[in-house]
Amino acid sequence: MRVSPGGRRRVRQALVILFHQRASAIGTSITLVFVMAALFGPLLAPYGLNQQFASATFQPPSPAHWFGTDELGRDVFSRVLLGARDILAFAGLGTLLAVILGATVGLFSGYTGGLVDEIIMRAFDGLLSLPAMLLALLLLASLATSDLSVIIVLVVVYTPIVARVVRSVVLSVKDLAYVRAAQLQGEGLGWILYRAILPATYPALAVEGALRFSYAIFLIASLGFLGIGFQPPSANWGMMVSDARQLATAAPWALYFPAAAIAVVVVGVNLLADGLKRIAQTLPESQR
Amino acid sequence: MTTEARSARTVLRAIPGLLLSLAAVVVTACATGSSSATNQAGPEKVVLRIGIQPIAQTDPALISSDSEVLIANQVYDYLIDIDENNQVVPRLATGWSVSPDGLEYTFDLVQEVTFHDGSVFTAEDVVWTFDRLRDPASGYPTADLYSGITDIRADGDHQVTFSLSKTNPFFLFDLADNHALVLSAGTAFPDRGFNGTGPFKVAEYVPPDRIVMEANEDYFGGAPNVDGLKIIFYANTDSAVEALLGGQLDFVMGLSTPQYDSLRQAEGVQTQIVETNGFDAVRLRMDRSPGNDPRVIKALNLATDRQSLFEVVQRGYGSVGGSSPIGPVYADYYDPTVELPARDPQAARKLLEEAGFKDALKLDMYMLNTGNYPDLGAALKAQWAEAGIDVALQLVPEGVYYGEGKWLDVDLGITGWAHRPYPQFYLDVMLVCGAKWNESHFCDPEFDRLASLAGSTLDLQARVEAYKEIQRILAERGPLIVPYFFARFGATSDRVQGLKLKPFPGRTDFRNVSLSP
Amino acid sequence: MTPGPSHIPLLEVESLTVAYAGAGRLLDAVREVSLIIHEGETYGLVGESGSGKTTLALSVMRYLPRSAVIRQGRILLGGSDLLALDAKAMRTIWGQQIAFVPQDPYSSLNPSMRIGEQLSEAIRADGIDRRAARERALDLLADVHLPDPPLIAESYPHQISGGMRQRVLIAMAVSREPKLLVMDEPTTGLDTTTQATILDLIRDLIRKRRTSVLYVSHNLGVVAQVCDRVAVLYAGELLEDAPAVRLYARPLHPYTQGLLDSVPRLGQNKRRISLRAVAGRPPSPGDTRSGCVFMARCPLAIELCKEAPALIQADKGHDTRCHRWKEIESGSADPRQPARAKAGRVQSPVTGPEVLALLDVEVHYPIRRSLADMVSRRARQVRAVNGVSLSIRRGLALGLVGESGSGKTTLATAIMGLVERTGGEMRLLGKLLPSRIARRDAATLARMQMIFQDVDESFVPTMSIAEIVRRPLIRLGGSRADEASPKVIGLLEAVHLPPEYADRLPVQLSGGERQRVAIARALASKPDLLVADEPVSSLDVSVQASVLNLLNDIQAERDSGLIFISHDLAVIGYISDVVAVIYLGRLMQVAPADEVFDPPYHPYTEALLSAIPLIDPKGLQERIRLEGDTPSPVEIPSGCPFHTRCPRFLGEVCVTVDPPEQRTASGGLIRCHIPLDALQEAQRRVFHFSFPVEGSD
Repeated sequence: MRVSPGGRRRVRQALVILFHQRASAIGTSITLVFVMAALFGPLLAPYGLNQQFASATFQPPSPAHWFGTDELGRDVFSRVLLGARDILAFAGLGTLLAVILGATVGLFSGYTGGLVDEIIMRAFDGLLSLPAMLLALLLLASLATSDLSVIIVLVVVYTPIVARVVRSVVLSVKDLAYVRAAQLQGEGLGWILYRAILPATYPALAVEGALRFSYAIFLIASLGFLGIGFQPPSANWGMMVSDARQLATAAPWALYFPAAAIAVVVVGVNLLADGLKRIAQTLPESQR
Repeated sequence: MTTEARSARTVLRAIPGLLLSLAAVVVTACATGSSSATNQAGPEKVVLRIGIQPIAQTDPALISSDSEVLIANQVYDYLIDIDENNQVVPRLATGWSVSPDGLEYTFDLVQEVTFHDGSVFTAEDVVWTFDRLRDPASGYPTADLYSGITDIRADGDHQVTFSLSKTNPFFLFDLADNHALVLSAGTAFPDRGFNGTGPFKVAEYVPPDRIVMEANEDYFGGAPNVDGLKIIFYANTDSAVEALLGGQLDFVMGLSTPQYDSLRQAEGVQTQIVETNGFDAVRLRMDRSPGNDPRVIKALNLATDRQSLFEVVQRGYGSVGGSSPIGPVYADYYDPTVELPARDPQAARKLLEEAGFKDALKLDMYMLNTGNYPDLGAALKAQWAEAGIDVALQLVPEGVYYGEGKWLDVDLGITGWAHRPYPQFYLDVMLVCGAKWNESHFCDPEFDRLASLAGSTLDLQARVEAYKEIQRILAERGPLIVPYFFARFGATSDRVQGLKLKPFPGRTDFRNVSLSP
Repeated sequence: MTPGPSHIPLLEVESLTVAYAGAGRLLDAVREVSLIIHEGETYGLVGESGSGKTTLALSVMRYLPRSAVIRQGRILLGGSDLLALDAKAMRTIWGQQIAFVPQDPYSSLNPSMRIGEQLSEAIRADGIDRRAARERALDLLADVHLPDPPLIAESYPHQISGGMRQRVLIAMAVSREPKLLVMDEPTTGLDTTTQATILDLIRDLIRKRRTSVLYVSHNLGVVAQVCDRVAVLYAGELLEDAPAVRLYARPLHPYTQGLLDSVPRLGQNKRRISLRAVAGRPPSPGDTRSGCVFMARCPLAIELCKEAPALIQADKGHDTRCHRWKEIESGSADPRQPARAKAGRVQSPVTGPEVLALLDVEVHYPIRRSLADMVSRRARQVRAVNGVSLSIRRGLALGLVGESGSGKTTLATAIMGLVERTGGEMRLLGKLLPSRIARRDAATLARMQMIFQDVDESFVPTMSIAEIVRRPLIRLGGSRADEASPKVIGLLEAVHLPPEYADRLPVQLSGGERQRVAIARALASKPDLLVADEPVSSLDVSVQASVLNLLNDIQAERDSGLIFISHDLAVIGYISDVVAVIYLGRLMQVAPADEVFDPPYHPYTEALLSAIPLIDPKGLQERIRLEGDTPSPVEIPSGCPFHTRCPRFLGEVCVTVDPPEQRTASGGLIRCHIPLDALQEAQRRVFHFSFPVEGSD
């Protein structure tokens, strides 16, 4: 995506606003920290994912093991760090695909209107009426357990909402003069949707994408907690929490640190989404 | 309308809602409150409160879980019982004799015993019970077990004789099978009547919640020390443990290792541990690649550190395992001298290379997704990774692993086997060529010959020799990796005395258990 | 006009400077403005966008937003300084001493309260009891000439028309008999005919109650008809302050003159005159000022102007901020912007080859709001266009004029294929035109292009000017990507925009510049027909002229047809060769531009002409007012659609029979039952200026 000179300036403005408010600054920083952890985790983790020290089981936090060890003698800090990559990668990829697919469907459905739009939206309403967790479980029950299945689940669960959001922007934009001008210039559907209308959806799309990202993280952790879609020794934080429940008295650190990781990153991304929403509101009406 | 009027209206509308919710709170409080007003019926009744998993079966012919057996064991009696040391002891039978050719067993029965409904216990009841259990058309689990019985006949009211088709050195253990509880002849509804000779009578059965029993004052073995049992069903053992700690239960069984660990430190609670021969078997199918190459089997063994697994997964409770299902609990048969090679991942790697796996040997390992299995799987994965074996863990629910027969199909799996009073069962069912539960598809004629011998000879020494040879064969070329034999755990409140947990906890005796005030 | 203001000052603004906080700096919106409003006087404040007039009005009301800072000055009401009062004290002033009539009636009324309640609420601030307040509310509604006050009182704002809502706001404002009414563009957004009745009302109220009024507007005509005195604001500074009569007849500031010259007056036509646009752009709020604020655009600028002129009293009651006022007064200096050459014509627009032919075009669409409606066959129809026939030849500019609900925009979009035609046929250069865009090929699309009303929404915000102009070159013009760039520059030059603009984004251009880009974009495919839908309505007055001139030039150069749509008959009269008046989807009158301003008129045209405020305080105008509002296109009256409001209603025949098309000598058309000669007899020329207007006949 080429960024126009105006676009670059806007990005800089956006960053300023993000860091100006304390809440969104915190959120953005947290998100960045975790993204760094996801990217560089393997380099930074002191121990391996499944590296077991049989002689050092149930160790409380210490200089050797910052977050202590679990019942198999695995370093909790390393597992939390490496788990960041799993969760954020899945959540990120799934959200990205959902955003792309949702934006496309929303653009098409909103622009085309009429019966096609009604049918698509009612179908999505049907999907949306199911709680995300339930839908995820149903899908995973019918798909084989694999990484691809989890991504598919995320895409199916979140595409409808993204499509809805994009569609509502499309509805407010499609009768504007520049869309009509494009039609009069004989522009094809693709150009009208992606070059003319899509930029108007960026603010809403960014906010929604960030929100979906935080929900996706939570969904993946929840699936891990239920033991669905992931196999040990996966360091899915939800799975770590589930496994460590019975260690609540013997090794509470094995339970609390992954749980805290989930909470912190979800809150952080949510605050970031709030910040993005505030940026979207500062844009002039025509660009919202 | 003015804003004041509007807000007044809103408040007025909210009042009924508030009242309703208040009422709901009050009602639920009363309901939960009433359930705790139990246990105080009558002055000074000593009732032992037990927390177990919910039951599905009450017909003795069909029971299987610890809980089901525990309940049946109080209502009915066995002909002969097995004590906590794995020895056969009399119960309804006072004594027995075996014919010289080992094909006839005659039992003398206790006299002046009545069922809970008042009818008298005779040999006819024994004949009826075992005829029912061995009926091939019935489909009961015991039909196979008792297929060797050709005839049962009563000699008078207090003597019964069993005739066998071939010698069975373990016949007495077989007669003490979990299902072999004696019913009154002609019982129409064995799952409902609860009409046994046992030390406790069923006073109240509320299926999802509890079963309450009173002591049988006329019990032939002497009235129990406690006045009754209150058995409460808990779907979740955590809740049962909480209840025990809170003083609402006196006995809980089926604890997990971490629960046991945490209860050991708890106040007001005594813990019990009993070693069993239950084990988890890690096995690779030997009838096809890669398991059909003995080097691969050997490599797996070289890559495994059983001691470490025992210490990490079982935390040292139970005993370290080897390659055979014959564990230290069978003091006579167990051979501690059988040597397994020390762990050597490098040697394992070399063997695998020779076998043609230059890079990694990739395997999917299937197991249940509950209990200790995830940890065992993870630990094995770490150990084997050092030998160049790349294992992908596949945790599946019980319904999938056992229900769909997956465990018999997969190449690499971990299957749990429960304690049995004698090891022959494992051999016959798990390792003999073509056996119905031979998940590893192991087929060795020498092994088969020895197993058959051990299962039929009445000569103890010959049997011991055969078992020891079997252990050596399995160590050398068998498919099993048995990391440990696990222990079973139970816990009682401090008030309980005289309770001894048995290796099959459902068989625990409550006749001599007493409660101090 | 009013009986005449007294000489007692009511409101005195002394050297007021108001600034807004923006981008870390304070930007002055109003700079050292001083003015006096006397009792009973209607004082007009004229300026374009950015002039500071609204800020000034809000300052007087003390309604400024938080970001505004009053840096200096005093505002004295009856002697006491309003700026020194706190909010509590101001609450006694608001409503009682000063009242405000805002621009947009819809957002100023509480949508969830009935009209009567809102009005009573305002009245009860004086402590009157409920019943009396209700009575008074009904009286007020009658005072503002609302029909059936009890019904209106029971209605919610969305249930009554825009014109009625504005009357309600006026009623609320005068309910407590304030001494000063501040009105901010109260008639913007209303139809011309409705506007005329509101202005009547305002004049009536002022006369009866002797209230002083501060009337803020950008519309020179409205101000001329309502105000006693007029002040001209530019870039926050007061440039001229004079009695209305003098300002319009003999302005003493080049800017005022420029404004007056750039607005077409009724009767002016392009063939006889080119509008004189004011050159350049107004300064941005952040620009540093030195010297006269108008210097950069002034035809009379000299060295002396580098020193900022003070507000000088030129004559009694006439102040001006220009060093050269004496020369202007004496006539030795001409304050007018340079004249331009008139656009020549290649062919006679009457006999050139036909570009577009419309035959009985009909556009009806059903109202489908719910899923059920979408699937059902029977739904109410909006009959937007009902049988319109027109012929546009090369070089011809057709002006289509109508008010809201007339169907003019629907017709334009139907011609362009954006909306489906449900009846009749259209031919482009002789060939049948498919009714939807999807069916039109690139060659056809290239021949017809459109310019839109809303300049802010005409472009994708993220596209550069170059990209905007390049797309049609490639899509319709057949150019390849590499050939396009020089052509883009060429097109920008054709609309008088410098090549540097190519890399800019629309948001960086002014309104007028953006409209030029829109024209350039439309020209890229070398169309034979341009359809311009209210292209200048959202632009400032001084910019309109340059865009109108541009359209004119381009049409002349390329010999293309032009359909120009507007609600403003003066603009239409100026730019068109032929004028078509449309009402409820039917053409009521078609006439050459020269003739449409003289009788015979269609009664509707007559009413329109009498409703347009003349830019001449002493001009004479017939007073013909229409009752009620335009009927909804869903329920068009039978027979002649105008019969429900026609001042010359004949009788039964108008209700039952479609009026015939009567042809005039010059080929014009009037659709009326009244015979042409009867009209000619009965009608007089509707308007007369008090001074000769250049370029009209």
